[in-house]
Amino acid sequence: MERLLSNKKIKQRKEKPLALLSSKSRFQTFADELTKEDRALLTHFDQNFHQAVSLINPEAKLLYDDYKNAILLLCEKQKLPLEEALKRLDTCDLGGFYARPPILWYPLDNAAKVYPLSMKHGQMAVFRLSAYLDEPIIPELLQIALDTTIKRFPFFATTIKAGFFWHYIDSTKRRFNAEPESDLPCKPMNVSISGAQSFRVLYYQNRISVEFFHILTDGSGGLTFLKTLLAQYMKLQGIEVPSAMGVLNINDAPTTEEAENGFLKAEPSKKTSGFISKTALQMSGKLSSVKPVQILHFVMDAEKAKNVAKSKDATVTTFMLALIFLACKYATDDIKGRLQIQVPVNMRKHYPSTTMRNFSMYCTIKLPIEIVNSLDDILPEIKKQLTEGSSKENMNEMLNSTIKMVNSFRFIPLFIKKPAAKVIYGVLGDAVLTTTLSNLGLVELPEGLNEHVTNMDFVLGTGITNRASCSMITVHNNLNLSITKLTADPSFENKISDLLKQFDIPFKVQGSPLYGN
Amino acid sequence: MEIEIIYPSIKKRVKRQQLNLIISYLMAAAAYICPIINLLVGGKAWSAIVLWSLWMIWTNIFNAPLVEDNLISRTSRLAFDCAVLLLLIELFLKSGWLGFVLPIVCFGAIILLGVFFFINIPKQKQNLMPMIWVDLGAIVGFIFVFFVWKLKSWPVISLGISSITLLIASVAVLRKSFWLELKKRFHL
Repeated sequence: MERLLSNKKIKQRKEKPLALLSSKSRFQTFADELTKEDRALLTHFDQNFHQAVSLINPEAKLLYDDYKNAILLLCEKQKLPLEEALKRLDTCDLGGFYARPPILWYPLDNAAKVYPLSMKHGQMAVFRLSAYLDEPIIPELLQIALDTTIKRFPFFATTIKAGFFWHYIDSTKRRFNAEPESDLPCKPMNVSISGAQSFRVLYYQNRISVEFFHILTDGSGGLTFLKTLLAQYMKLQGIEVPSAMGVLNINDAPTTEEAENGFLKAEPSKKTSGFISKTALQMSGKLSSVKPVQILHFVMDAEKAKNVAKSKDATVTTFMLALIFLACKYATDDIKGRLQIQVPVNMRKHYPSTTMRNFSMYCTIKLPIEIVNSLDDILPEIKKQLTEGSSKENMNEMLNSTIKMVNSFRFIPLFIKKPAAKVIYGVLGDAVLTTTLSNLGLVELPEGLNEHVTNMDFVLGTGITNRASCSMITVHNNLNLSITKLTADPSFENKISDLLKQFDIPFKVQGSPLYGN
Repeated sequence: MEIEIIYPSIKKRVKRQQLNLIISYLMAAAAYICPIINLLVGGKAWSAIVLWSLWMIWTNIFNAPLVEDNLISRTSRLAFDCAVLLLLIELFLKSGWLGFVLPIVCFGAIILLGVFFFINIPKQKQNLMPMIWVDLGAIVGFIFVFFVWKLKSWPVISLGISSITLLIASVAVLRKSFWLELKKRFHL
């Protein structure tokens, strides 16, 4: 209590918003006006908080401020009784995460090993998942939701380190930051400083976004984190969300399987598949120096899209792939060569696993540009390649290739591997692909979230030469096709728009302004 | 196509990028021209020192590491870079002073690293390794200079004592964590 009421010595960080700078005195005034009973409650809360947190400063102070801000918000703005506010902000939800020193560390999974080797200044594999709520986001509650959710995902509470042979992630105990969105989506993160976080939680108007450096997880793991964060955010608003449909109970202990390297589940096979492919045709638009130059979301009627795809004897993914092939042809001046689209495959479908780490492989759909003329011409070939390419047998071969490759490089020191990987990646880069289509599929939300989440989107980071990267996610009846652009040339999205109109699929387009213009 | 804007507008930050680009072009030009001038004019190989200095500026300021660029790793990197620079000056410009100056510079680096480490052990124990590399380098250097080269000056002795003390102190303070750190760093 004394610490809560007389913390004049605590200096606020310079970069903190003005609202927080004044919160000390506001909290003091608020506490002074409490009844005797409420002061006792606050004292008890304070004792529990300090028992649960033994971070070193300034992290402890920041966490402490989060709770003070949340108390003020709930009691003053939302007029909740203090008892109810403290019940929602139960310090039990902090668990022992902030009380224990960081001892865990994790070797990178086989897919993640390439990301720190290939990244460079301004180029990093980042993806983003967003949820749109029916009301504007309350930053104070989002911060508390993050403070309490992170303990359930200990492999996200890490910082990247360079070992002698491989990079690894080392746990870090700090207050992780939820910040207002004010920069480019999927902007590279600064992961070099001591204790730097490899993910971001952002808010803007009614949207909560999480951006991950791919080293931590794939779309599936990211979605579980976002759902759990949303559920915790809702709980702080008094809305109960059951731990189901991908929402984890934050007070359950993380399991070993959640942090496992799923690649080790591969069935041993002598057959392997190569990673090297011929270069693909690229869209012709001029590459922008600002990455991404624009984000676009085609929000479609999912039921209608499904029916159209069904009428063509195709799945939604196959149908969208066909549209993208046609749009790619429209957006390039080349008349010879192959269009190649990478489709990530969730390996959890083939190998049941609850891992939150990377566990995806990919297949590539390749079509000569000459045959990409109409939807009906290319659909059967796309369907065939997608079925074969994403089969368990093929994926198992690729898993084995990945394992063999990692094993063959494991005794080479990082200071040799790193420049070699940079040269190889610099030469090949993403030139073997025209674009990517990553589909997270239909997102099911439990009661409590279902009513309040109006839409979701999934955005991939930019490549090097690929002018567009596409991703899809479906929630409620919204099929959201997101395009991350690396060129201001609007040909690609204009063609997608025309094709959707042609097939009579209702849609609206949302997105960012053209950055850098 | 009508787009509903749902992202905030971004403040332009192009100036910094452009400045970096201009500087990198200038540095590349200097790295290209200096060896040519040196070859044409002849004399001492001063361009080797220019090249290393440009590399130092490039790797420490404009192209800093993307992983582990913390206080300890920066100091370690700078110490190594300075040692190489001194070695090049000794080799190509003026000789006879390296045995005295280099141990002083390394001794200073060891003290500085020790201060950074011990001032905040809970945070810095994860950044231990670059310090250990510099420390081991200093110990090997000391053994070579003191026992093989038989140079028994006070800077060499100071370097030997400080580097061995730092290693022993780190192991003593961290105990299990020290070995855990090594296990992490050398995992396959």
